Amino acid sequence: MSFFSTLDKRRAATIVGVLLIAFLSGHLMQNVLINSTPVASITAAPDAAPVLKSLEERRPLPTPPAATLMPILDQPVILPRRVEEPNDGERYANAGCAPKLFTTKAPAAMITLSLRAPCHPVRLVGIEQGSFAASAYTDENGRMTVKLPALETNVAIKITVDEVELNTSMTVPEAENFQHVALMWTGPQMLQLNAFEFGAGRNEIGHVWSGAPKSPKRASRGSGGYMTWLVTDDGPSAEIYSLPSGQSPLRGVVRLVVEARVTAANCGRVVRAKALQPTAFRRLSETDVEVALPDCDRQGDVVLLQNLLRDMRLAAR
Amino acid sequence: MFRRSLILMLTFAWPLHLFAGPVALTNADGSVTVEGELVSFDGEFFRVETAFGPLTLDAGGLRCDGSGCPDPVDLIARTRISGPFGLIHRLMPPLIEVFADREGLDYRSLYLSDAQIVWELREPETGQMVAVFEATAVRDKDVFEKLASGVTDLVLSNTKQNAPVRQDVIALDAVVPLVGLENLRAQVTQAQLSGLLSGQIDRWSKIDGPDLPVIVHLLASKPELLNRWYAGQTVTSVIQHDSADTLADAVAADPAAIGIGMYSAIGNAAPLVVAGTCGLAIPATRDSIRAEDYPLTEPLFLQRLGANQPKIIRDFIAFARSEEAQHVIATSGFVDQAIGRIAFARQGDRIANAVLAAGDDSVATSAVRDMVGALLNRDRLTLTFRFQDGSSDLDAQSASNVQRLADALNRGDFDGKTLHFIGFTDGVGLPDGNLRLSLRRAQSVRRAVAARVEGAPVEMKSEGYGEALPMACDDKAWGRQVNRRVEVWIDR
Repeated sequence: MSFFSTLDKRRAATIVGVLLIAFLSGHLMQNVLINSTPVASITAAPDAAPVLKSLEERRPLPTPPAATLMPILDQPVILPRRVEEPNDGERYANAGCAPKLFTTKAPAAMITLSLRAPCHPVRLVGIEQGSFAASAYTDENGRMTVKLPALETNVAIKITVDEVELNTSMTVPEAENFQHVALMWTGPQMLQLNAFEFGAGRNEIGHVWSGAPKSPKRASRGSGGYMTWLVTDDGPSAEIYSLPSGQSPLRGVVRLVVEARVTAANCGRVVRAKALQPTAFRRLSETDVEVALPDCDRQGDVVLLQNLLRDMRLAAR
Repeated sequence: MFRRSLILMLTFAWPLHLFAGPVALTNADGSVTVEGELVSFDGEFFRVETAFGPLTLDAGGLRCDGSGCPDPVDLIARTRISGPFGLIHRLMPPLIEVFADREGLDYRSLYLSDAQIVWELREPETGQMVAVFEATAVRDKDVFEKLASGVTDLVLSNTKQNAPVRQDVIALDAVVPLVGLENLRAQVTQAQLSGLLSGQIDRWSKIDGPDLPVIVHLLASKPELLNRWYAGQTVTSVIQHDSADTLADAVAADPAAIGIGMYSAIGNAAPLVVAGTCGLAIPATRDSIRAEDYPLTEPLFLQRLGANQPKIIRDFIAFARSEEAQHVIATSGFVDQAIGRIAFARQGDRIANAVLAAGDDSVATSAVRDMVGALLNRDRLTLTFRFQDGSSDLDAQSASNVQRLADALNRGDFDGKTLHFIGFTDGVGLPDGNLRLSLRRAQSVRRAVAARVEGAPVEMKSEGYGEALPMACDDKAWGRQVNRRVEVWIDR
């Protein structure tokens, strides 16, 4: 009896403790780390007239570093809600918090994105390029570096960290020489994109997948494609297969097969994903995927989606 | 049996829903309103009892007001399409996407499984769903039963139907022999192919190849393939495949393999050219398939029952047949039916064959001379007319070509030009008789086309050159069928 009551007390204490930590950390993150809205100072000084007054003043928005931020001209830059408030924005910028995005071109029509967001350590970063969406995490210093292929020659990239949005655009003429397919999903999911190049079988050299992604150098040499993957458990994830098609000496067909592994988490449920693939116009066309997985007695099985992505063809030139 | 079930189906399928209540139906621009009691609505047509009597109205683009109106969900044009995997997955997506673009509609494609895809077309401003295409990919050959039993509305098929089915040839494909890339052979003779398939040639070394056994791959769905090529051919041991893609993959991976696959699904295998006993060989190419010079061309049909389709579906069918859709079809891996031109200079092989075939025979030589003189300054159109086996009826692809050529003429594609319908025969029979026969065939095709042309925008002439320009060897039925044809030439 006393044992149980002790346990109950302990449990209650643990629950209270966990809740407290959760509340405090949430509070800390929401209001101190990210928001930097001085909630504490308002409670300390209930007559918050100066704060309200300052809110009415229209100060200029914080200027993003010109070298890194290139607004897309035909589309207004939607600044994050918090930064719209000049007061907050100023404080935010003054604290050196404003994230900076650096973009550089890498070989094989790749783009390197480097994010410096010192006030956003270990955060999920949304990465969008047109209808393509993926995510990655910043490290404990708020840095993130990812490479992704330019899906079109005129690339517009949107990076979102917490609620701060950074937009950039660039022209990548080499993108003309590549074809891409992408598979995108959100949350933990066991999806895998496989490319079987020019008659290659499973686990042969021409089988490109996240376990054997090959390198963009291989594409530059003209000997095959490569896989880029940006996968997180919490945010949008993507796998992209890119194949050089421009002046490639390659000829034949690349078969694309998506595999969905049946797990305890997804069995008997519908897997949702999106696929991007070229069509007659060569632009990327979107397909929504809603595949009902088999029941849980078939855990461990792999469902093959063989006709979701059409073959890539390289004709002899 | 089929006809009976069809009649039953039509009897019971109409009307699907019974309605009663006042409705006001207004067209898109609001200029016309029809008021009355709604009698029935089948998802496509309203039947309304009005002051002027009963009216049947296409629901496409109509707004319905009043208590008798069906649920708005029912106003979406829904159509179910069934067909083989290749057609559903390769041909439909670009066709529907380009169609949606052309209609100014938004397009969403939803993949549910390898056998099930849905396309939704919406108004971009209102987001109102306009049409839904539900596609089911099937392996079985009873897709036509599904049409008859009302399980599907449209069928994509490589089999022509004679029952009361409306059908259009929307694309072309062809049966091709395939080998792996490591198999360096590019051509076999007909006798060799026959031996390879029948097991008489069981090792490649017997025809100067590597010392490997011959492994034969065939499509399970096409047992009739071999019969079309070689009547009475028996195949001893083969590996069967469900799809042309898996056949091509298996053949590509094995230097010992030979397979009979499809032009649209050559994949990473290599097509073999089959040479006839007389030495004539026609490789499968876009031009040779469009011109049906390649003997194993296979038209692909879009089939449906009756004309009872909503307007947007009818528009889609018209689009799939249109000249505009041909470049979409060409990019899908199938062969389109756009009317191409082949310059005289690119037909050296054919002419050389004609000269050699004429030999020392003075009648034949002068026929070749006349023909070359006439054709020298003309281009051949890829569109060609051929006849059903042992008959003077046009085959399916050619029957479709009559309308296709008439459409082109009505569009004004050849205004101010002269079209020459030029008949040819096989080499069976006497040269004089063949000359007359070839001219008669050319005249009959010209008349069929002219009957569908409004006015007389183009001058059309008929000529016949008998057996002067053979394309295949006359010792096989299919070779003779290739040779019996009416070509269309145009002044350059």
